[in-house]
This record gives sequence, structure tokens and C-alpha cells, in this order.
Amino acid sequence: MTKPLALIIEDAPQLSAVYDIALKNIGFETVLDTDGDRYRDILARAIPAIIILDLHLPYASGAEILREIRASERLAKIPVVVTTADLFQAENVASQANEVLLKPVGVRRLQDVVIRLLPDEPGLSRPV
Amino acid sequence: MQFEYSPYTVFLMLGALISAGVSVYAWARRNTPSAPALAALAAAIAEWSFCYALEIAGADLATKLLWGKLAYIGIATVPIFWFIFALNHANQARRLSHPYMLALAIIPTITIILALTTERHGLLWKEFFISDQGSFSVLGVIRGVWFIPHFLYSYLWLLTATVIVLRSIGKRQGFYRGQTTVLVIGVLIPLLGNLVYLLNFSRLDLTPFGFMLTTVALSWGIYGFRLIDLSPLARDTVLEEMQDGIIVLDDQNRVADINPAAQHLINQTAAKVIGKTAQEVFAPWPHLTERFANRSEALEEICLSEAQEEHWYELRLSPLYNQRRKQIGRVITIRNITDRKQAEASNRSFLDDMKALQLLHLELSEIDELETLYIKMIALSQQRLGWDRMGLFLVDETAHQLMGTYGISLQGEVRNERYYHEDITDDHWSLEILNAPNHAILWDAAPLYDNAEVVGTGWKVGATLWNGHRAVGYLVCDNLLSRKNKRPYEVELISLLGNTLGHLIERKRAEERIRQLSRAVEASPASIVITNASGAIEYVNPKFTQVTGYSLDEARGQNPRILKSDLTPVEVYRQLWDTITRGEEWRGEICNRKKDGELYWEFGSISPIANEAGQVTHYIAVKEDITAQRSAREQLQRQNEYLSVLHQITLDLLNRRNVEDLLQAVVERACVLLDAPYGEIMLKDGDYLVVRAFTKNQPYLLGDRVDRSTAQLSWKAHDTRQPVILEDYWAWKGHRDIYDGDPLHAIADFPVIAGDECIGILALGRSRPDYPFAPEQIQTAVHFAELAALVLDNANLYDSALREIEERKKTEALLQDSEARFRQIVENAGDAIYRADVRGRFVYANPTFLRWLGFSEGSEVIGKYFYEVVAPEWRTRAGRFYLHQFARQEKSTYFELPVCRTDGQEIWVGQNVQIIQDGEQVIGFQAVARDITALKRAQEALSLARDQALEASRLKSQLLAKVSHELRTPLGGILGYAELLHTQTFGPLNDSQKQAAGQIVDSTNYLNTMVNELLDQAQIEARTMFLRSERFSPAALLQKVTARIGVLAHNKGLAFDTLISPDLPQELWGDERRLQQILINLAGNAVKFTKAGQVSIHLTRVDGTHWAMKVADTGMGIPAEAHRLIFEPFRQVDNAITRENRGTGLGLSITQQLVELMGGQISLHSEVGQGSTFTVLLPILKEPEKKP
Repeated sequence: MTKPLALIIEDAPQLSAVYDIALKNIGFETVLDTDGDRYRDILARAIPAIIILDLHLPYASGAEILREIRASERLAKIPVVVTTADLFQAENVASQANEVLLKPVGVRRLQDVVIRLLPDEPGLSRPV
Repeated sequence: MQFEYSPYTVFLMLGALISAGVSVYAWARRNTPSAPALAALAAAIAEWSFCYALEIAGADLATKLLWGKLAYIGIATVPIFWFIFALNHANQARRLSHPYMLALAIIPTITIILALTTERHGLLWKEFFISDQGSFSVLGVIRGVWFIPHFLYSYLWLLTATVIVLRSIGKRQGFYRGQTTVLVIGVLIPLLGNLVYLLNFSRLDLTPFGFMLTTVALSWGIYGFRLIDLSPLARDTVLEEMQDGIIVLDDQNRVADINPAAQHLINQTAAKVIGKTAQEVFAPWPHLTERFANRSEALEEICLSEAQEEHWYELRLSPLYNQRRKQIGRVITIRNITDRKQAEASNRSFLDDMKALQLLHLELSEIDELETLYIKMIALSQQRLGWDRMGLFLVDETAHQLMGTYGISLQGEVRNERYYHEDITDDHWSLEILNAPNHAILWDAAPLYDNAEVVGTGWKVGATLWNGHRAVGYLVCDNLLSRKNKRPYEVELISLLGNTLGHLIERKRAEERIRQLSRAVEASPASIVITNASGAIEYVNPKFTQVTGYSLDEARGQNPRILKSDLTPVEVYRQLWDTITRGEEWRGEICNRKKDGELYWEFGSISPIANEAGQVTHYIAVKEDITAQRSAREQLQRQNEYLSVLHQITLDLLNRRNVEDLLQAVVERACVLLDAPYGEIMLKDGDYLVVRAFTKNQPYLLGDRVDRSTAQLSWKAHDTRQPVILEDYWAWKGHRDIYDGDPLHAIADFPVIAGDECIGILALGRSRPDYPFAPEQIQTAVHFAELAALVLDNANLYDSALREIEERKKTEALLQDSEARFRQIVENAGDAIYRADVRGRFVYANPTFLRWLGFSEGSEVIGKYFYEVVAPEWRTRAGRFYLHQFARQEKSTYFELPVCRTDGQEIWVGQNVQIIQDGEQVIGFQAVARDITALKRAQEALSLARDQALEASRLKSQLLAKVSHELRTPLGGILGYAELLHTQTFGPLNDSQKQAAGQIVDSTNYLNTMVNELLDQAQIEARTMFLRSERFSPAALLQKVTARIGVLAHNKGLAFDTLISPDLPQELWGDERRLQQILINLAGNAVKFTKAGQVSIHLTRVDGTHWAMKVADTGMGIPAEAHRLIFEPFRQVDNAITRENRGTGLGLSITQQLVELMGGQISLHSEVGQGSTFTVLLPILKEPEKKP
């Protein structure tokens, strides 16, 4: 059985590494875009089960990416978890994101949210 | 073997012996280069002579043949040895190698062998016989073939050697030339003899005679010229190249030798002087020959003049001895020491010039006047240091412009040309000097100018006048080439001079400035006092002496405290001392006492003076006597007081007080005005003066009637209509002893004159001794008495008007009169006074009002509406205010408003407005206004400052918010990794590691809470917290809260209940996230502080417009006195609990503020031990209207 794919768009390397491990630990395969310039290529090749999206990126605006995803017929249904340190931004994108997490985002919190958003993925579970 | 006597034999034998002796002598000195060859030569000659002598002596043919053959050993070898000797003598012996000499010996050896064996082959001699010559016989021969080569060979070398010797004569002089000549003669003679013999001119071989002469010549050469002892070789190499001149004199005082250096010195060639006597050679310098004629040893310095130049030489005379220590001559060594001598002379003159420079400096230091100094500088420099002409040029600070020039000519004539502000930036002489390294420069040949014309060529030196850090000018010295030699140290000298003068100019200028400054101080119209750091006076200027009466000598060493009076508050002195000890300037007013005790006021500035190290060394006080100013000011103040009293009385009058009150007021004001504690006013009633008002509660006076005998002074004032002043009433013999307390000293009685009549007396008195009334006070009181009269008159008239109301007409007339007087008063008032009709049009305005608003005449404003002068934006407000007053008929109001001056400037006034009524009807108003602009400005500044403070607080909060955001990212990293560690993602942990990871997670969560709370607090404080209005479901809200809190409660073993009232709407409007935050905070606290039991959340509808969230627990409860405290920031009730349940202490405070932002209220019901219930009451919001 193939593992579900998670796309992590996050520029802070320590955070993307944590998300990466957190999602792998509950049964994901992950792919990372650390600058906001690779997600298009990734999305062109595969449709991830979930997208973890940071709003502050060096080469793109997270809000812009979210709009782009929602505007695409092919991608619109993908659940998107937005992570940000900025409360205002968080409120601005709240209507388009499935979940907005205010940083700091812990492993457990992320895992809980992702599992909650993907009730149809049978293989996901947190190791005890 | 037989021999016979012949005289030739004897001669030849003698010759052989001499030659042998020479040979032995030469051999003994064989270390000398030519000695071995000479020895060999002499030996060969000796052998030849000896054998020839025996040949002649031989009596038979055999004998003659034998010796004749043996003679050939010498004959054959003589030319060779002669040649070798010649080469050696000519210093060319290096050409002779051994193989070469062997080659030379081949022919002679063959000749010798052939000679010894000639009778067998006849190659040398074909035949031989005895040839009788008369007195003697010789061996006669017919020569064979070998004789020819032998002969040619022998002559070849003889001639070659002779040529070598002759050539060397050309190169030699004196001593050695004679020697060589002797040698040549010695060798040519036998050759000639031989030739004569060979050519058969004589049957006798003359060669031996020649050889005898040769040996004689050689002997002479040896003994006469010491042929071998003095080696020409060393002499050549040493003497020829010596720099010192060397002349050798023989014992006859003749020149024996002279080297090229000496030839050059006496300017003669060797050929001319050798052999001449010293007297002849040194003829041009007779004093020298005389001086050294009979001395064999000397070492002296001599001076020879030649073509105006002086040349110095060191002359050394030493004797020359032969081996037997007999003096055979003298050697003169001459060394040129002109350079050394010149250097010594130059050093001497340098020292002289330095001394001159020093003297110059001393002399110039005496001069204080700058112009004289500059002129003296060049005059003395020229005179002492000896330049032809000099110029001194002063430049400005930037060295761009000339500030003055001074020149001195060759004849010592001084020119002072003040070329001020002439630009020198393109003058290359000036620039070269000013930019010269070491500040000095020399031009070897330069054109010399006079009035811009070139007058000659010479050398110039120039130097900067250097004051230590910049050029104040420069010096130029011209010197005609024909006139003066340069000193080797010209540049250094002028540089030194430039430096010396530059520093001197700087010093003198500074002194001049100080002199000017001190003249200024001396002449200053202000008192100047300089003290040392401890406050002792070091200097006072004449003005000080003039003001205080203390001379400089008296003041010096004293403390300025000698001037101190009691009138200056101690606080002022303390502040003064504080200020100046801080190193700052103090300014202020002090009352001082003169030497004669008189008091005077001074305005002083006192400044500390610090040295370079920053230590205060002196204080300087500059003070101005402001007694006059101060008294003028005080007078002005009194004047103002007077005006304000006037104003008050005017107002009193307007208020229609009764006469008694007026009189009382008049007396009290007068007392204040004149600083007199005692005062009374008496009004005339027939022949009495009746006391009507007084100060200093003395009721028994009231109504007292005094006649002329009791109050003499008052009646005097009444009669004369002039004030009566007494400096000491107590000392006056007629004084009345009627006052309690202190006796009266200064008193004054002023007549109160109304119309033409004196209606009363205003009497004032002082109990302080020596405090008389000042003239201006008396003047003021006179005016005041006039005012009092006016007021009283007016009051009396008014009273009369009331009494005689029927006599309307008369009263009206009187009122008009009163109006006129009223005007007189208000015209002089310090406040603006105006009157308007009921529509607000000006009917009167006093001068003060006109002045404020910039009008020059009343007519400009009369008829205008009052609102026209009000600032436009205030017109409506002011209109409303006064309409209100008129409508309600309020008598008097106070209102502040800005009015516009004619020049557009705004001033703020505060005005009292009284309505004027005719019965019930308001007919107008009158106002007394005061300028409150300064007050308003102060208020505005205050309000601006408050706004700025608020803005700063907002910015601070924004910054805090931003920082909080920035903290979140690294917090995420910490939290994430800590959780991963804790969940053993990176491998199994032992218990303590796991616990540690858990601690990190807890700490991070705590830190995060803190960041959130601080951010919230910041946003609330900065008023940037915005609440959203969105639709939300209370049930979903509760679910989210339960997800967070339920677990915590469960972990603590608490029950967690939630309840939603059925009447609560399914959907509400509000900020769900913030509501969630409020609930989590309250419920979280509840779980934290509850040890057992339950925590519950209840959402309920309160009424039609409100709903509520209730959070209840069964915890320990909160004491009533803490109910209010817990909502304050950073408060928690019990510190013990705090330790277990950490938090910023902001949580409840933020919760409360959020609730209030939402328009709700939070309340608490709690008792210790009964649990707590927090109730958040919130309005039920409607869907907001959509904005277009």
C-alpha cells in the first residue's frame, strides 16, 4: 500500500525538519519546498493528501499559494494547514485554509490536526 | 808559462780587481732586484779584464793563446748580463723567464766552446800569432767564420740594453737619472773602445780601458748614487700616486725629487725644479724659506694666498738619514687642509651667528608694540645676521592673503607696506617658502626685484615664520652674488630665525590680545571679580571698586561673602554654589552690601574657569548694578498693583456696594499699595473728621470724631490740600498715644479731594523704624486718594440718586456725570472692558481692549458685532453660550474664547460678562476680559505632550507585538524537536532523558503562553486589538474548549461538565477565537486551582439581549478581599499556588479586557472553600451590516 503524500512548504529549516519527521512518523511520505519556488513542479507531478503551508516565504507569498491552490480545479480539494506567526495574516487566510495554526506548532498538535483533517486515510496513526 | 811586465797588465789587473769588488758588493745585496745581475756583470768584466791582462803579460804564444781563449768566457757573457741588468734596472725583469735566459745563453756558450777549441777548427780564429806593438805584445788573430755571429749577437744585446737604459732615463728624474747616466756612460765607453779595436784603428784592444772606466763608473754609481740601496720600484708606486706633495731636499738644500702632487702645488714641473735650491723653488713665499731654512723637523699649518683665495696646508719637515745615521737631506710633506680649515672657520661663524640669534631674540622680546616689533625684526636680523636685504611678510590664518609686509634695503632703510588682503596663492616665491620642507628654502641664483623690476641676480633664502603649528608669515633675504659668500648653513639659520620670530610673533600677539582683554576688563562698565578655586578674590576691576567701595588691595584675598547681605535668600546662594561647582554658569540677582553699608542689587553671571586638565582654577563674576532697574521694576509692580486695585474698586463700584464697604476697601488697598500696616480714612463732617474705616482691628476708633487739636497733621493735610509726611511720628512731640502694639514711625496723611472740596483724609502709618515712605509711593498714594475721592463721590451720588428718585431729571444728569467718571476709571484699567447692546454690537470699548485687538480708536470697533472679533471656529459656540445666559438672565458668567487681532493673530481671553437689564428686559451686556493666551498655550503644550506620550506607548506596544511574532518561529523549532525527542522518535531515551525532554516541551508551552499573553496585552494597550464579527456555533466553541481542557481535567482526576441552555441561539455573532481564549483561560485556571471535584462550563441566555458563559469549579475559592485584585495584571492570589501553576499573571487581566472590548462584563462569585464561579456576560450581537 502506498503511503499518502504530504507537501510541506516552510522556509525555516528547523521547522520544516520537525514537520517532516512528525508527518513521516504518522505514516506519510513527504516532499519539501523550503523556499516557495518548487511547489508548482511538485504539484504538477503529484497530488498530495495534505499541504502544510507557511505564509512567510522568501520567493512567494503563502497567501498567494493558497489562492492558487483553491483556484485550481485539480488541487482545490486538498486540505491545507496554514502555519504562521502572524495573527493578522492568520485571520486573513482563515476562510481559505482548512486549519490555521499559530506558531509555535508542536509535533503533537500538527499530527492531531492532520489526522483530524484526513479521516478517510486509514493508515494514519500516531505511535504510542 | 812565461810572463813579461807591461803597464797595461797593471791597469787591466786593477780594473779586474775593482770589477770583482763590485761583484762581491752587489752579491751581498742580492735581495735588491738588479743586484744579482750587476754582480754577474761585474764578475764577467773582472774575468775578461783578468784574462786579457794575462794575455798581454804572456811571454809566449801558448800563454797568450790560453788566456786569450779564456778571456772569451767574459767576452761572450758580458752582453747577456748587461742586458739582464738593464731590464732589472728598468723594472722590466718580469720579462725574464728561466727558459728565456737559457735561450739567451746558447750563442755565448757555443762561442766559448769554439774559442777554447779554436786551434782545431779555426772557426773563431783561422790563425794566431804574437803581434808586437812595441812596448807590449798582444795575440794577433785572423778571425774565422763564427766571429761574425758572435759579434752581431753580442752587439745586439749590448745595444738593446743600452736603449732600455736610455729610455728609462726619460722616465726618471733627479737622483736616479744621474745614476742611469753614469751607467750608460760606463757601458758606452768600452763599446767605443771595442769598436775602435775591431775596426783596426788600433792594434791594442781598447776595450779593457773602457772596462776599467766601466768599473769606475759602476763604483761611482754605487757609492755616489747608491745604485742598489734606494729601489726605484717602491718609489714609483708609492710616491707618484700620493695625494700629499713630497719634495726631497739633499744636504745642499737642493731639490732631489718631487712628486706630481707637489709639482701641482707649487705649479712647477719636476724638470724645472730638480737640482734647484729650495730658496729658488719657493721664491714666491720668502717667509716660508726663511722660517724653515735651518730646521730639519717641523709640523706647521701655513696659508698661501692665490688669486684671492686662501689655501691652507699642513707642512711637515723631516730629516733624511743614511745608514750611518748621517743626515743626507730633508723631506718636505705638504698636505692641503683648506677644506678642513674652511669647515672650522664656518663652525666658528655658525656659533657666532647662533649667539647673534639669541641676542636678537632677547632684544626683540623686550618690544611689545607689534608694528615696532616687525620692523625691528628685520632691521636687527639684517644687521646681526648679515643679509643684504630682508623682507618680512605676514599672512592670514589660511596663508592665502598677505596681512602686511616690512622690508629693509641694502642701506638699512625700512619700508612698511601694508598690503592687506593681497592674494598670494599664485605667487610662486611665497608658495615655495610656505611649502618648503623644514620651513626654509634657498635659491642659488635668482633675480632680485625692486619695485617689481629685476635689479640683479643673487642668492636668496626664505623661511616660514612658524609659530609651532602654522605659518604666520615668511621671511625673504636677498644677497647679491658679488657681495657675499653663502654660509654653509644658510638654510638652517634662516629656518631657525623663521621659527624664532614666528614663535615670538605668536607670543607677542597673544600678549597683545591679553593686554587688550585686560584693558577691556579694566574699562568694563560691569563689575568683574576673579577668585581662585577656593573663592578667595584675586582680582577686581575699577568698576567693582567704584560700586562697592572696596579697592583691589582691600578685596584681594577676601571672600566675596564680604558683600553678602541678608536680603538674598539663602536658597539663591546654595543654588549658585551648586551650579558653579557643576562647572556651569550661574546667572541671577543678588542683593549685596557696599563697604559703607548701602544695599544694592546686582545681576551677576558667575562662571568657573577650568584649566586644560578640566580642573576649575578660578571663578569669574561679571556683575551689573541693577538697583535702579530693580527699583524701576518694583515701581512698575506697584503701579500694576495700583491699577489692579483701581480695577477692583471699579468693579466694586459696578457692583454697587455700599459706601462703608467701599471705604473699607479703599483703606485696605491703600495699605497694601504702600506697605503700611496701619491705615484709616476719615471723612469731614463740619468741624470734625470722622473715622469711617481703618485697618488693624481697633473698633473703638470707628466713628471717632477728631477736631483740629487732636489730629493736627490730618487737619494740616486738609487745609493745605497736600500730603503731610512724617518720618518718625513717635519722635514727634505732638504724637497721639492711641495705638496698641508698636509705636508708629513713618506716617502719611493724604487729602481726599472731590471736585473742589477736601472731603476727607486717608492716613497711613508704619510701625517699623527707619522705613520711610519713598517718593514714588507717596505719588502713588496721592493718585490713589484721588481715586478714592472719585469712588466716594460716585457712591455718594448714587446714594443720593436712590434717595431722590423723584428728581429723575437731576439724577439723570448726575448719572451722566457718573458715566463720565466711570469712563475715567475704566479707561485706565489693565483689563479689557467693553459694553455691547443686546444684539451684541459694541457700544463701548476701553483702550486696553482696543490695544489688545490692534485697533487704534474706539470708532473702529463701535457698531461691530462682538462675534466678529471672535475666532471664526468659536463663533457658534460663543453665540450659543451667551444666548443661553441672556435667555436665563444669568447675571454674570465666565467664558474663555479666542479672539482675532486685526493682524490675524489669535489671543485667548477669559471674560466676565454681566448682563445689563432694564427691568426684566435685557438691554445689553458689559464684560471685563483678561488675556489668558499664555495660560492656554501652556495647556495646549501639555495636551500635545500627552498625545505624544500616548503615541510613544502605541509604538512601543507595536514593537513588542512584532518581537513576539519573531519569537514564534524559533519557539516552533524548540517545541518540535523537544516533542520528537520526548516521543523517542530519534531513538529510545532513558527515564531522566525523557523527563528532560518533557520539561523542554512544558517550558516551551509556558513560554509560548507568555508570548501570547504579552502580545495580547500589548495589542490591548496599543489599542490595536481588533475583534472580528463572525458567525459561530456555541456548541462548536464548547467542543473546541473541551478538546483542550477536558484532557487536563481528566489527567487531574476532575470531572469536566459542559452545558448549553436550550434557549441559547444556535448561532451567535462575535470573535470565536477570542471567546475560546476567554473560556480556555477561565477553565484552565479552574482546572489548575482545583484539587478535587469538578469543573463545569455553562453557556446560557440571560435575557433578550444578553448571553453568558459561566465557568465554575469546586476549588479552594478566592477570598473576598482578593476579588478585585485578581483582575489586575501580574496578580495571583496565592504564591504557593503560583509556584505550581506558573503563568505571566496576565491571563485574567487580558480576559477581563477582552470581555470589556466585546462590550461585556466579567464577574466573580467565590468564597473560600466554596469554589469559584466566573460569569462572562455578553451582548447578543446581530449580523453586522454589510459594507458596500
